[in-house]
Amino acid sequence: MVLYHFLLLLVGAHALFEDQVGKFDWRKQFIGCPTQIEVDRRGKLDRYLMATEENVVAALSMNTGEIVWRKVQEDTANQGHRHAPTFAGNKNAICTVSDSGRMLRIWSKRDGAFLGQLLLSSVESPHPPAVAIENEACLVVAHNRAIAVSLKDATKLWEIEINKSNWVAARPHRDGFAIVGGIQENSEVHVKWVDAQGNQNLNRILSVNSFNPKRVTLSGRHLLGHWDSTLYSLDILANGPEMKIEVVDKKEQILEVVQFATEGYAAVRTTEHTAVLNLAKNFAEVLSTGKSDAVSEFVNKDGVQYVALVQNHVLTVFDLNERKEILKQVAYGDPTLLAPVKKVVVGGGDKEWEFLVIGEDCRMDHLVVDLNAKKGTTEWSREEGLTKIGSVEMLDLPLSESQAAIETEFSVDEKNVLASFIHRLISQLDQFKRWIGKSFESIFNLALVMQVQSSSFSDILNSVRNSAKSSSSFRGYPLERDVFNLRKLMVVTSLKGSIFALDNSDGSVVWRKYLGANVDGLTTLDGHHKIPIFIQRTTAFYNFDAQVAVAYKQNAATHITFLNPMNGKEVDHQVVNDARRIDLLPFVGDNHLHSIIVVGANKKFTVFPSLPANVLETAPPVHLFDVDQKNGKMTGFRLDLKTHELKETWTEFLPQWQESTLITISGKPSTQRTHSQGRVMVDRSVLYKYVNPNLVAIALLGKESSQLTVIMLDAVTGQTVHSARLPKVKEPVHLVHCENWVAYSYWSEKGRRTEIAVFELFQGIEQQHLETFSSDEPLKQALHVEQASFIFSQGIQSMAISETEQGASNRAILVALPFGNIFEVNRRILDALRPMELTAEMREEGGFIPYMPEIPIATEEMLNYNQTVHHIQGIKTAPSGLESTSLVLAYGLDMFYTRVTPSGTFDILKDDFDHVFITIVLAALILGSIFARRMARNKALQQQWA
Amino acid sequence: MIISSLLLTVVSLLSPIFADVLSLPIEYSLNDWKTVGKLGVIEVKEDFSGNYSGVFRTTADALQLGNALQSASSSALYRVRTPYGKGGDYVSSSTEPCRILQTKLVHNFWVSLDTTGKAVQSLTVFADPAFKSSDDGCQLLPQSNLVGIVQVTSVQQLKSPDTQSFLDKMDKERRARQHGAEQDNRSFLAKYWMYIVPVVIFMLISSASQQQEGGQGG
Repeated sequence: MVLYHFLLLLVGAHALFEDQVGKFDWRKQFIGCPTQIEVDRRGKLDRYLMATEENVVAALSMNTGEIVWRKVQEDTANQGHRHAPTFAGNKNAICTVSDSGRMLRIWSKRDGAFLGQLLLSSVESPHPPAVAIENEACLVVAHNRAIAVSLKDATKLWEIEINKSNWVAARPHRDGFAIVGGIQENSEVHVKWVDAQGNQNLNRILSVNSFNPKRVTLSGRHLLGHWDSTLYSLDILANGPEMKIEVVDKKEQILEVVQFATEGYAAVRTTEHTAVLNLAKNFAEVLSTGKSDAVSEFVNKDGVQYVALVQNHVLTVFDLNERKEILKQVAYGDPTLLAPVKKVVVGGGDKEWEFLVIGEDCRMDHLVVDLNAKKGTTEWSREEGLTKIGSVEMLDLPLSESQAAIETEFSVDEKNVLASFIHRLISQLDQFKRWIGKSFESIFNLALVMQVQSSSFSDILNSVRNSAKSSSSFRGYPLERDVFNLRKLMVVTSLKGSIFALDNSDGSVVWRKYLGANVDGLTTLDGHHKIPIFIQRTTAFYNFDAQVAVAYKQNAATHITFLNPMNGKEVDHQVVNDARRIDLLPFVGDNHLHSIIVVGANKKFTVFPSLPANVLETAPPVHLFDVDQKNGKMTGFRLDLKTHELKETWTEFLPQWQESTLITISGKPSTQRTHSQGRVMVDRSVLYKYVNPNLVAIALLGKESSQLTVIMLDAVTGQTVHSARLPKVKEPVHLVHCENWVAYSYWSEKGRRTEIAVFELFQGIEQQHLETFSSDEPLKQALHVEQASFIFSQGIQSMAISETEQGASNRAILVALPFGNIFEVNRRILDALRPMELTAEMREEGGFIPYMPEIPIATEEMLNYNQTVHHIQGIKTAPSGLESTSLVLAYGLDMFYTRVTPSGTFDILKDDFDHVFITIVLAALILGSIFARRMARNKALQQQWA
Repeated sequence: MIISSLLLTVVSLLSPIFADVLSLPIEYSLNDWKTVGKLGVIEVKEDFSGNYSGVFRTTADALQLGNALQSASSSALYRVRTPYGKGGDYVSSSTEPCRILQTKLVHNFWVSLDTTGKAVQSLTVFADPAFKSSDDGCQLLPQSNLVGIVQVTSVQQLKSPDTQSFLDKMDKERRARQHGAEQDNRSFLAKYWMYIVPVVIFMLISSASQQQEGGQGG
């Protein structure tokens, strides 16, 4: 037993040292797209308080944009979550309602300390909850009840029933609360005015012409509603009828009614103009003509009321008391790169105005505008769109100029010896010049470092090493590949409608591109939303730029944009109507470019860019398959580019489709390499792997039968190569497919625990396909399947497999755990061939780990040590130039990047490798040998004389 | 002995009666089901150990099929199907006509059964490479014979963590530890040779030196 534990420790003991923290990894924390923003100017540090779509309540520093505190609330996205959290705050505390109205929590406003919580209900509220705060009580309206909770100890003070509603609002009113609820079906609004003790002072039902919960706002004591071009206001505390306010012509449409904090005022945005409403006087004042993007109110310390307006990335501020423009048409940022503004908040204004502008793609810009300035300066930005990632690809950086020069040297066709000699000399001179330039720079940097920190030799050596690393930073330098190809460009699409290129060394944004309004992801066969990135040409060709294609849906049409990933410049753009399937062709056309194929209705397909005739002539057929969501019918197609035909080749049905959910359809990346074709058994026989590049793993989970079915399908012939089932399984199910094996995790109802299992497919001890694999050849016999299952003592949120250049290193299964860690399981542990008992031969042979039903979870194997990352949605892995190293990016609410070395760092010198010591030893040896030689010579001479 | 052999005969006689036979009618087409021809029937049987085996019985004429395959257009696919469920659906598969001609009409069928083992899940047809002639043409070769080799796969069971065997193993180890080391059956000499050999050598050396001393003395 001790031996087993010892063996297990041997396998995975590669934790991080303290000085390695942050050396290869970085973490970015996000909060998500804000749904509610408030400015907190009390105390030393000004902040923005926010509630977001990602169920986060957070405070951001107004000066730096950094998170002061962040509280991640329950993520019930899988369980039909509907209502984003909402909050209300007073001087010291804020009170949040999260988890769709299930939970009330009270936090300290300054530091986010937890003060108390109250479970409101175990079910979700039928209407979006509302919350208000007054004196020492917090009022929550949820589940058709109004509940007052003490801020001191989160105890319930009183509770009253309200009429059934599908829209509610609450606000403090004369030491008590005004509660308004409405229901669409009856077109009526009920108002309750409750004092601090819960006594109802007013109870009234008002009828409204057309009540629509989506188009109603409570602004002070006025309820504002609108439809098409009519705006009405209703004083909820007076017993009058609703009042119509003439703000618009019949042809205009009201876009939004914005509530103001000042009693009796509101603003309205229409397609033609923006106006401020004086509700007491039933009067509208037009501020600007033309459609504005966002409007917001600001009241300064002296009670002067201002209105800020954003129109096409131009800011205007009006003084409502003096009736004049304070800031006129102040532009900011680069309008070509920014998405339209959806919300503006004024952070402060006096001599210097501060604004927080939120774009449609969830980018936050904090702007500072001087009273006399023509242009606003962006103090900080946050890319919150990165919390909704549509897909990630890691791309190699292009060859450096000198590397490319060497490449050109070899591609020159000239046979002239002299010419190539001169070429050689020139390129060597060029390299020498570069080397001198770089050396000077690093010496200069070193001098700087030594000036700053006069410290020990080892510190200087360290800084030399670090400066060598940081000098290749992107700022001011061209994008160049490093020696070990560890630096990559990560192209990331956001479902909020943007594409980003991130530097993998620190996560900074290299470029960004906004795709446009109403961008939505494409639906994959297994029902996930994605904005796929297709790598059409990598940077492997020095004379061509790399190219990627990004496909997305916009206003019901499918758009494909072709970009140079290194700078984000658009090369081409195509719009396709009725696209069923988009994919990358496996062979190249002109200029090493992989084309994109779009299959439409009626088996019509188009290729972008179109292929030249000679490629079409020799093009092998391409096989695709489709799943009919109605009846689970799978159909295989053969795409013949020569004859431009799409032919049906096979049909098949997914079992028990009506009562099943399709969990995943997982193929293998075409670039994946399998280093070894077989596994050597203890008796020296070889079990050959069934490595079929066309193999697809399909996982289905029965809703009623609770049965997990895994089908291994050859996508070319439609042959079910292997299928297996497991009863008593519940979600979440995750599956990863690699080489000849599949690893999957599930919740076992029988054991009431998470289990992780693996099965491997083997051809047997005889290899069928010696050189190339062909799906057209039948198997000689049924596959030999080995499997093993393990208990996993934690839940699983996401799973991925590490990827190395040649596939020779062990693979690691990366598992994101719900409490915010990423765990690395070596394939040697998650192995279907772990023997139950070690025989004498196995002990002699070594390297066998006996079976243990549990996968031990050691804290040293957490990739992100103490850097908790929340709500991981996916993990992307990519190979680096070093065979030992795989690059990992985990994304979700947070982003974490690191490197993994599942087989250890066999091709890298240790971090603490003592360069100084080895240099001294070498020098001493050389000196010693010279000295000894001289001594020997002297001795020989003396002997001759003697 | 006689009884057991008798019993075996009875069992072997009974087995075709007891075992469920799943028969799958196979149809083919060369023009995407515009015209459909009958190819034969695949009969799938389950034996007593739970393994499935299948046989293909043809009802089509080899020559007729060969001619149809020969005259099919170059882009045509030789498609094969069998009914799936009761809703008039089919599971189908295809291969190129020339491949079948090159292997002298020897078909290789892979049938996979569903969870119940009573219905077909997928049917895949291959041209059997074992019978492939050296002729790469697209003609009906002499001695072509409409034959089908059938392989059947069924849905298998995924494993759960094997805690029981592990506990058994631990138990065994614990018991072994409690009872001391396992009984050592080796002979006395085999067990303790490492102690005996030095003693013997020492004795030999000392006796030799004594003899020498004696010799000197004498």
